[in-house]
Amino acid sequence: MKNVRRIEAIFDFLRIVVAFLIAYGMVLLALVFISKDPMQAIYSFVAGPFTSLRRFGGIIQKAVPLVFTGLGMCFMYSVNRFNVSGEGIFIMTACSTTYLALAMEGLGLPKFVFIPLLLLFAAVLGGLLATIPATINAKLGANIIVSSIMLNYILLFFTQFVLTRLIRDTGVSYTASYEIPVNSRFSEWIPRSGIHTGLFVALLIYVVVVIIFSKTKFGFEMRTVGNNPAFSDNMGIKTIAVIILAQAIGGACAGMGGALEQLAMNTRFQWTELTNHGMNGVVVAVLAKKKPQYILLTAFLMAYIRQGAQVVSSSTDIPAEFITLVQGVIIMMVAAEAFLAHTRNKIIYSGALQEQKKGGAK
Amino acid sequence: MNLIDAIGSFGFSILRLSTPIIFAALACTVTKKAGLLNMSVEGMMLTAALAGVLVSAVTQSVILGILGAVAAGCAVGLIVSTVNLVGKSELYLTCIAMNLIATGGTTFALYMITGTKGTTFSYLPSLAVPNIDIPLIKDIPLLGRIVSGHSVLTYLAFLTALLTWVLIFKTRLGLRLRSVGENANAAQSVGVSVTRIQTYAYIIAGAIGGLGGAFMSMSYVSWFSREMVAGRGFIGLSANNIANGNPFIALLFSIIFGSADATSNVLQLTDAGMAYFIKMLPYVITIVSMVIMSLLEINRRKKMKQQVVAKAIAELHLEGKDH
Repeated sequence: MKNVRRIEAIFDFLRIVVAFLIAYGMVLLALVFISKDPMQAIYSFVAGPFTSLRRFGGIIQKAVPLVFTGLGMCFMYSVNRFNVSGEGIFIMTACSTTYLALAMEGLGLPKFVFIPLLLLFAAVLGGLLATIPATINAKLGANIIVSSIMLNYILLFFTQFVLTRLIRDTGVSYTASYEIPVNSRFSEWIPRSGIHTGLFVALLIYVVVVIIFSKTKFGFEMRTVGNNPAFSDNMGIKTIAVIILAQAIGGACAGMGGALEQLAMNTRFQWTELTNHGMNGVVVAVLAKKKPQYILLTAFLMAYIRQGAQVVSSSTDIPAEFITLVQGVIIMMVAAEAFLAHTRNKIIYSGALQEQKKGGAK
Repeated sequence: MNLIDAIGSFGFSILRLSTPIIFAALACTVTKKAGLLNMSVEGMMLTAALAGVLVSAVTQSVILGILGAVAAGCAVGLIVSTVNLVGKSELYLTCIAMNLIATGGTTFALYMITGTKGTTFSYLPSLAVPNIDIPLIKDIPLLGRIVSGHSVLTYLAFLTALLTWVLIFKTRLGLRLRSVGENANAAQSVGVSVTRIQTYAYIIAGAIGGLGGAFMSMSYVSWFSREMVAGRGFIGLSANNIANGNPFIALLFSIIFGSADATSNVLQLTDAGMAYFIKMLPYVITIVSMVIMSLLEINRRKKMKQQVVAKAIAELHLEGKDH
């Protein structure tokens, strides 16, 4: 039995690695076929992200928001609810944090008070927003995928309403808010790398989430509810409350990510479309087998291939969009239970046969 | 006179903007009846939109262009259902993956073919579906202005609603579709192949979604631009969600959502903030209606339970009297 479990765990890991390699191979193959200078393209894609400090910083920049949305999705997954409201929450908290930062500009708060305050606000807002689809799903049984996608669009258009009505800077030619106050911005950690101090917030939240999952009573309750709601009910866990609370925390993660991205990467709020951070968070969480401890790794990997794509598109003749295609292929393979299942079953079967033989010899 | 003109052109734009939503909603209706949520409709439409432009540009035939779009939609449906059923993956993940592949793939293909990342406009000589005037009706003052002169595909959208209804409620395939959607195990037990029926449902949905895509790139505008479907598939999904699988109610809500779109377009020129506010409404309506429908459903079940209990108690009493 132990043996089977070990083989299954190894194969879970292997599936992800193989899916990644296949996708990676696809990219390389595509680069060979379409590029006028394939060697240059492959070099840019594979090694490009490490060729300069700024490019490496780009990986970290791209990984930070994915850590937040990926952790958020782990909470949704832990109670088996596919609540994808992280996408809308991300843009919503970026927008409302901008609004709040502008409104509180006059107070002249010091950085170490102002930024935590804004992040806290974003987390609370994100948590409350994620509760909406969570509640109508848990209490009324409405489809959470549909309601959370609807919520995303509501939030998108609401931010555009706020942007054009309340915080638009008419002094600039493009659609953007006023500049957020200097004392609300994250500073650059390593000069000329683009790596900002928000990285530490991401790492802190990562550690907190991993502890919540593995060391707390609530983490245990979440897992029990996710695995078997009827059992958890009988155990005396308040199942519905746990389901909603877990999603609220997930929303809080995404919300904090949105605010942090805004305060660290942009001086104005200027997103006019959904940013896909939430959906990439789904990808990151699925790759991490829905376990928060792997999120750091998968977020980094995802950021690496995205950065590679960006380097390719800036240094060769290939558009960066091919990476979206590759992402799709990766999820399709990782999501398919049957992918590599045949090989796994064969190995488990032959292992069992051997064990039986050994047992027979005794 | 001016007012009537304004109302006329507003009504016209409602029908025009509703068309892709109607197709999307109907594409979702078919799979919904087979018990599947069709989140990939966005990708179906996007892929079809590109295919329509490419085929019509190469063959210089509108009909082949539309057929190409339909074929592309079907292909997407086939891929989603195959990966989902054969690969045993979770449907929503497959759909999300498919939408990503469609978004990335179309932009990529666009670049490889034309060398630009934005649009095929002025790069590809693609064709547009003709608009037609309806005889007699076109001469009625207001009605003619609203109803006549639309793209062939707009009229086809209404026809498709009728055909979808016929398909679902009046054909053998429709009966199987519904039985699979209501209770897959029961259907399986009487010899209906659930896998096959669900695959059919996805392919049919792909064809309908493909028409929606064709409308976007061959009628709404006459070129393909990246991410041009822009969430219309999801609006269709929600229209269908409210309709709960009824093609005509899906049609109705598609038009209601289309009017929100039209209103927002008008406002965009004068009051952009308000325009965004209006754009929010279809989604708000959807969530509210989901809440209401769920409440009604819970209420209905409660009543049913009470009736069953009351009946059982009554029977017990009767038995007691017998003894």
